[in-house]
Amino acid sequence: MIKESDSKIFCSLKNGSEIAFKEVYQKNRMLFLNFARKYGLKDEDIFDIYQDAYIAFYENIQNGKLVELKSSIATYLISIGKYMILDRLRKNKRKVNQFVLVNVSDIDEQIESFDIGMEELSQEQILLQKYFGELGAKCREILTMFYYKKMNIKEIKEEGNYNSDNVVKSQKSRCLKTLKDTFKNSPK
Amino acid sequence: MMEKEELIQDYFLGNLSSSNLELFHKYLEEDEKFKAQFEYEKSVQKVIVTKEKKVLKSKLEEFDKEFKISNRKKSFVWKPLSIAATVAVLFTLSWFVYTTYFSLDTEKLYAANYEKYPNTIYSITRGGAIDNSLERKAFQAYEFNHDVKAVELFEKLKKNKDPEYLDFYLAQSYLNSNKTIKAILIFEEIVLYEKEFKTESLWYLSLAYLKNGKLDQTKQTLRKLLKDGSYKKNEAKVLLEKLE
Repeated sequence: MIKESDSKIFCSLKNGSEIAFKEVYQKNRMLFLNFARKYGLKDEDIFDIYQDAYIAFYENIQNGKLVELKSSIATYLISIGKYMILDRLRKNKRKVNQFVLVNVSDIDEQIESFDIGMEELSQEQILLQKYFGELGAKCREILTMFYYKKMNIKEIKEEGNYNSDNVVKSQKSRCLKTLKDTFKNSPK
Repeated sequence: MMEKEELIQDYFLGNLSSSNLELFHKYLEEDEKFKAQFEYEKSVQKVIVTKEKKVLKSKLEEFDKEFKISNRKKSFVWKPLSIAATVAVLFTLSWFVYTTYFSLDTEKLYAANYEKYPNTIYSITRGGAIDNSLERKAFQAYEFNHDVKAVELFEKLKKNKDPEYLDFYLAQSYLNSNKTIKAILIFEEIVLYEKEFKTESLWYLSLAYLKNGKLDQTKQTLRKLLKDGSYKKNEAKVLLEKLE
């Protein structure tokens, strides 16, 4: 059952409202903390996981993977958090309680399609990140719109005030190429 | 080659149809160049995602800090009571935030406060009959509220000569032609680099944020204006009170 207020807030999150971003985070913090404490994690770790879960939830709204709520916002946060808690327990080589695995909710399938990962960058990618930071603002903007916000060419055209689809495409290719060339020619 | 580029593009947008997905995998196996390009773009994506996540994470860390500080103050309360109190506070707070912000008509508030800055730079009537300079045309368009035209002319003018005041009028014109994001960027730059019309820009920047529903930024900017400027001080005070 999705409350009307959840739908409204979801809409604000989708539109990038900073206030909704903060409010939803604050509102669900205690709930998450209480849920996660049963797994014997330290509060510090739980706060950290809550942040990651919240970011994953928010990003998947922003990049259009989560278009409509099938459940309450709290359920999403807890379900995403659950994956992350399990992951953390495994990494800490702790025994994973079986009941956690059985406890599958009906939105788990949807969540599996989300981008949740927080993999570490390789040495090369760290370097690439440095050169990305040195690109012009326009380049960083267009690449972020495409690869992070998953905006299509038309959307980028409008948001970035480009004249035509082709201008967007060639600008994007040019930026990718500049980055690649700088990276290739860099002292390693 | 276009086809291959589009395949990669659709992959990143999650738009690959099943037949194209097959083709995509075929190229990945058979075409070294295609594979290299795809892997490069994958790395670019990872780099950007990591960077953006970091930005969000540091925002959340700030929220947590605020939360911990406010929690410490009431830690002496008996625990179940404090949980109940927290729930109650969060509930009323969120209700309050919700009714104050979400029902706030920012467009209306913007319209009530926005007033176009007058042209104080270029006297349209000067220079007798034969003044056909680009600058005159630009400010004329500005005065006549032909804002899209004004944007075009100011941009053109900026290519030849670029006095600081142009940015301010360009941002005004963007704001009036509903290109708020563009206007914000320019006003921010004027403030950051302390260009001409800096204080005025703080006022218009807060209005531009308001127009886009960015209330946190609106308030932050208004506070900055009240702290170090004299322009529109009273208006800023009243507006800030309405938002808080």
